[in-house]
Amino acid sequence: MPRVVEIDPTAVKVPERVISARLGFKGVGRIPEEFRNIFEKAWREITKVSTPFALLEDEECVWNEYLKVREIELKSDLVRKHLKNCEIVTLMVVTLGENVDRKIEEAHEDGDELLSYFLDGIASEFVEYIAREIEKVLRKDKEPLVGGARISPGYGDFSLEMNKWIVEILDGERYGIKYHPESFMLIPRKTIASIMGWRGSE
Amino acid sequence: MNRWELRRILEERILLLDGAYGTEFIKTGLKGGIPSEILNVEKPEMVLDLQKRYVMAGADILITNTFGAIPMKLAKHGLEGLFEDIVRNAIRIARKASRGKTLVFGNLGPSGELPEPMGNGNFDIFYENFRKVVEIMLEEGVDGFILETFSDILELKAAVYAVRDLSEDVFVIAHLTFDERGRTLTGTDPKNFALTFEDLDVDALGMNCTLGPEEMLPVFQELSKYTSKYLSVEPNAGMPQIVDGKTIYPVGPEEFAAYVDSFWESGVNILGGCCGTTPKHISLLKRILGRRAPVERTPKKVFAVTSPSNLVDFEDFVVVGERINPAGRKKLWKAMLNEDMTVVEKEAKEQVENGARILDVNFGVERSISSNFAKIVVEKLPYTSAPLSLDVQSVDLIEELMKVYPGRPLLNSSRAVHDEIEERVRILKKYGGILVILAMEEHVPRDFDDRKKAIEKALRILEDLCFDTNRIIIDPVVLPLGAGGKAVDVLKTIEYVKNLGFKTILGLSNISFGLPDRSSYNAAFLVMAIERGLDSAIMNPLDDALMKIMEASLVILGKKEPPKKNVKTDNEILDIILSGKTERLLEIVKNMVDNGATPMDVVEKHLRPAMEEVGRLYDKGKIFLPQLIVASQTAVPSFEFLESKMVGQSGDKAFVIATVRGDIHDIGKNIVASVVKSSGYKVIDLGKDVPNEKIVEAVERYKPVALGLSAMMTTTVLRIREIVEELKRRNLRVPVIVGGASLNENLSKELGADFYARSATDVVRFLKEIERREKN
Repeated sequence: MPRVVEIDPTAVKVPERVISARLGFKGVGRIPEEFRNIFEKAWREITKVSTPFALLEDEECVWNEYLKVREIELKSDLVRKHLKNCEIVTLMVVTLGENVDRKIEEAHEDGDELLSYFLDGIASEFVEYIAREIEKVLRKDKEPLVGGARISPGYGDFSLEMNKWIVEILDGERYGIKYHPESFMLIPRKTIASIMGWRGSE
Repeated sequence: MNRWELRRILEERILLLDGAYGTEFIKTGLKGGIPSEILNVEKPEMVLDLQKRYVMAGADILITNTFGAIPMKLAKHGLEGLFEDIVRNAIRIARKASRGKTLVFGNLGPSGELPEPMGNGNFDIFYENFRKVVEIMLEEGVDGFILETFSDILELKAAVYAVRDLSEDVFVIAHLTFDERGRTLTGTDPKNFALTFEDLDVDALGMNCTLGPEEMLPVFQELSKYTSKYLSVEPNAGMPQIVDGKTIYPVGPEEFAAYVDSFWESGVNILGGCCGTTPKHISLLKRILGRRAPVERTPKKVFAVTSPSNLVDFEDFVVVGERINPAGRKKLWKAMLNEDMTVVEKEAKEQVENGARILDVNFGVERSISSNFAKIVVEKLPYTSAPLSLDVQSVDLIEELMKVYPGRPLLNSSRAVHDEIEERVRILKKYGGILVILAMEEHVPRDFDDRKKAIEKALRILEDLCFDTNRIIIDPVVLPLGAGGKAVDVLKTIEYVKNLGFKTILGLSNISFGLPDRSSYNAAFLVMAIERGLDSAIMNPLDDALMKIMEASLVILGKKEPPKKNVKTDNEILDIILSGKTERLLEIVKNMVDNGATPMDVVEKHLRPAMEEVGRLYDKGKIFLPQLIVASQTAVPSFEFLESKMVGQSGDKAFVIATVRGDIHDIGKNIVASVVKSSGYKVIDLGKDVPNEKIVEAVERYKPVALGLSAMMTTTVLRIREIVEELKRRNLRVPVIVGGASLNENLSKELGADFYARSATDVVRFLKEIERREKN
């Protein structure tokens, strides 16, 4: 059974600079005044409708040529590099929940592409910052073990197909997290699956 | 070898740099993600071996393996403790490989951080890091420096100063890296680069990385038109492609070498290779180049100031916004004291939107403002607004600000006083820029003769100081009418300066100081001054009447094209579209139809041109994606209204769009649909995760101008090929436009698509191209 961590969406902080860049205001560093209202509206909506939580599970791992977790060999150089010498790994899924997808879709169906775009951009950063917060907490909890980089399927040669593997181990479906059977994209869309490795501090 | 000896050699022949390091190290076992500089201490034999092969290939200059060796970059990999060993060893290894047969140039690459507000870097951080590397490299005796792959002009300047502050005798090559549109990441184009760096004490300018020789050639040619420095170039071995998860550079030695003549004809002095090139590439270049001499060039002279993404040429009349000046403006003064950047940015934005092309920045009583805040303003503002005129008096502050200015500024100003000019010239020689010379000595001029005398004196001083007088602009000094100033003397001075061949600038609002109805006096005087040849004025762009009279006088005097008849209407429509006033636009469109215009005319003559302009503004980076979306949303109801009035006339302009099966991302696709719709096409949006069959059926049914397919992920891009093949099988001829994060130009072609769109505006451009081709 995975550990379930619920997150209060109103406590999540994302720097405006980051959202502004995500929304395409390159080199501006903040949301321009004429878009302030729609930005605030979209931010309010996201914090209102999202139900963020994370599923976490630690797994023993074995090293041969590649890292092996639950009898599955992770044939990825990226994984090998970033999880080098790890003793255990943490599998993680972080999601904002399905209401966010619905909200983005509704705005599109109402013909309000701008709102839809803002909701989507804010939600993308929102879920990423939640994942970072979880990561921070994990790093503290695991001390004196040292964590490597958090990597997700789709990075480099770490196949997107591994989304399926992570979701299945974490029993994601039971918590409303699915994957597309062909493309292995996660549903709800604002969901991140990832893996982190932990090794002794020496 | 010092820079003067090397310069003599470069007059005689073209020199050859070496080729890639990183991609070669990966071939011999370096893992991706590990900085190759670590090899200098852990596996020096790998570096030595590669450099020996470059020496064998005929390179004249070996570049040290230190591209990422600045402390802040090494720290990201936990290697900062090895910094000194990495740098020292790099030079010693290169010397060993060279065995005296080549020169050794210290290599400095960018920090990986952009300056604020885009990133977390700033001038001081960059400078300190580069300086630490340069100190060691000079101790180890490098023959020169190559500053490579920089994507921001401020960071490159910091690297140049770090070298020059420690040595004036060493040869320096400064490179930016440009994308296919000929811009760096922070928006600088080659002409801007040439002009900004023309003033700086570097020996050669050039470019490397990002592009292959074919794509880089036109960008290089543009640079060569405007610089008198030596020219250097290192293309990649083509644009990188991902094949079976590996990065491949497709241009082999023969194809690469085929561009040698073109670069030579464009004036290259130093040639080499960047990512993906090998000793074989260099060997072939050597064979072709031999001991070929460079071609002579005569660069174009341009009188301009710059910011990272703007170049203001004084060929056209230039409005310099005067409003960032706290004199008599309590709110701004308070904001400056409180170091509130937002108020300054707002002032800047308003002025630029109303026609200012340069912004004069004056900090009032300078001792009251923290120099740190002044630095922040001068370092950051040019990235988001326009080039600056630094209206600063204290020499210390001038130096601090000129150092961190990202571009080529105006320095406002110096009287015709020896020490004053000398101090400013010293700073300008080091940091670049144009000096405003006031037509006055210690005291306020009484008449034309005083001004003439001051100008003659200033020119003598500048000549004594060996300062290029193409870098000055003369201010005839406007004094208030109310205090006895005589405008006629100023006008006469403008004529005099123009006859000497110099540019002119003046502070317009001074004329009306203390008078009622200042705008009228300002406008009347400006018209007269323009008539005498004035090139620019520091003035208030928010004074609408003044700006309109200025525009009219420029047209009347033949200094500007008269506006086209419908320009006002189109600008009005454009403004309405950009400001998102949907109802207002609809009202105008309905009025046009009510007054007899055909719906087709309204589309073709008003809406479509306005949306094309919106697209151009977006492509040029003048507006952002959210503004493009606003514009599209604003225009769509008007298009729909017009479409309802011309049933049967627009049905042939359909565009079918879908996100392919398996792909659940649709934001990009939705934006494209919205922008295409607002350009007058009927958009059939099939949604996301759409089966191939449904897409092909829609093509069959709607016979669109083109089919747009969006595929974001590596797991879904293959659907494109399946759809293209199915269309062929059914003999359905329709151009296919594709876009999405995992795609690129080459992959799109491999998948059988006709066009690869990076943005929504690309799609509209392709649709027009398709229509044009069909007409022909």
